[in-house]
Amino acid sequence: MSSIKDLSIVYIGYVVPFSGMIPLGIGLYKFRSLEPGLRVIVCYLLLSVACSIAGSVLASQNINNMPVAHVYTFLELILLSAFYMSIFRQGFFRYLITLLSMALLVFLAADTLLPGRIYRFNNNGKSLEALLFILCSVGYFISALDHTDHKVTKSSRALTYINAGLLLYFSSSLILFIINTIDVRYVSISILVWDMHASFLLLMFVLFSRALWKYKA
Amino acid sequence: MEVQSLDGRTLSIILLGSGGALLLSVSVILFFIRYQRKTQLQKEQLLKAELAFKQQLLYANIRSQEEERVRLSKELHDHVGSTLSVLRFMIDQFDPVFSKQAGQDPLNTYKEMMDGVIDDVRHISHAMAPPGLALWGLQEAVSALCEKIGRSSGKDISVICKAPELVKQLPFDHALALYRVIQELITNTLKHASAKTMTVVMDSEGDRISVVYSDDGVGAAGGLNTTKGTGIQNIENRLLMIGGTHRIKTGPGQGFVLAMHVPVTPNINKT
Repeated sequence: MSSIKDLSIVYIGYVVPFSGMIPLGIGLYKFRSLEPGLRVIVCYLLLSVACSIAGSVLASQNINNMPVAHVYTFLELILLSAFYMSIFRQGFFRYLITLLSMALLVFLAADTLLPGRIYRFNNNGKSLEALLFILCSVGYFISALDHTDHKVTKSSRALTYINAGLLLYFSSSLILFIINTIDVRYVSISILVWDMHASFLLLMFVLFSRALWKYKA
Repeated sequence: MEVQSLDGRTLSIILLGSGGALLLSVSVILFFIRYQRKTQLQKEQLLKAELAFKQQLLYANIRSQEEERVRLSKELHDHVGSTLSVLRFMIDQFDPVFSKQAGQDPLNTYKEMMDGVIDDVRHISHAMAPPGLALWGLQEAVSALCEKIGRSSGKDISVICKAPELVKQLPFDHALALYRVIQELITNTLKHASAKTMTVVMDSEGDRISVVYSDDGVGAAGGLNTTKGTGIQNIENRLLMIGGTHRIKTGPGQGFVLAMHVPVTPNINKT
């Protein structure tokens, strides 16, 4: 049990966060030639890696790292909303994303500021955020199918990979965020939940890497 | 936190929930990619077909121009060239003293030959650019053409114009294109169809003119799916250039009908 826990700590704390550096490195290398939406994704990767490292450092010092998770969720919402605004330049989806993002931002802020909440996992906010970005990524696919004159270019392929990564990550992790709302008394389940979450995150990083690597302006 | 064995129910929820969501997402993504590839392939095929068609029309156009040049060259050589050569020879051989003694007056012969050459040149010129078209319009030009061909071939070619005022409004480019098309159709009928009668009917359809050509010949074997020869390709090319459309109806023993619809306003589609 202890060895499984140790392996999980290494996996969650080091392997997955450092794997995020691969798409981040590719993104930074190509930053100047990236279109605005993809630049936002690179910023999101930077946030993700930075918060992962911060969380790992705090955890290694036995300090509660939940405040980092709250900040991360807040900034993640802003960055990914900006990404989808750059894709949906007009129309119903843009209006919907703006409305829902702003409402969720207010909710996250309120949830964080409640007494004691900042040191607990922000499961409600994460679940709602996951739902929002599942909606956004599905919306992208519907929109791309709808436009019969949508030209498949290396740029649009990159966006497809990014959206695929976001859809896979948030849809698979949604149940994990919801499960975490239950007062989890079983260490093994908690470990499993975070291991699975880390794996989905890793999958997302792989797709982001491919998107950024293959991208050509 | 108590260390206990895994709660089976919670574990099932986690695995089923995550696994199911992952599978669903993968299905959505794969469906999207497949659909997009299919659409892209269809677009590429359509584009290829369009390019191939345009290339075909271009080749037909070039071929037609070359054939016209060859025909013109032949007519100039056979009629004008040879007559002028004979005339030249006769002038070279002319001996005024001998002619006077023999009581011959070659000047009339020379004049007749020159008249022949002038007629030949006029005939070639009219064949290249019908003068009546610019002066009197499409209806008159086509009627003159049909009368001339009908007289020389012994066929019955009738021209019926139900919208003379609208036909007069046709821009010259459109009128010339239609004239050439009708000329081509009549030539085709005479060469291949063994028809006794041909009819050209001009009518109006709103702001468009419809011209229907028909003959009672043997029709085209293979019906509408006949492999298009240079003639039909030229017709298509000319109609395309003036924004016109056409429909062909034919079959073995069913004669030949070609209906064309051309805008009156100059809406030339440059291909």
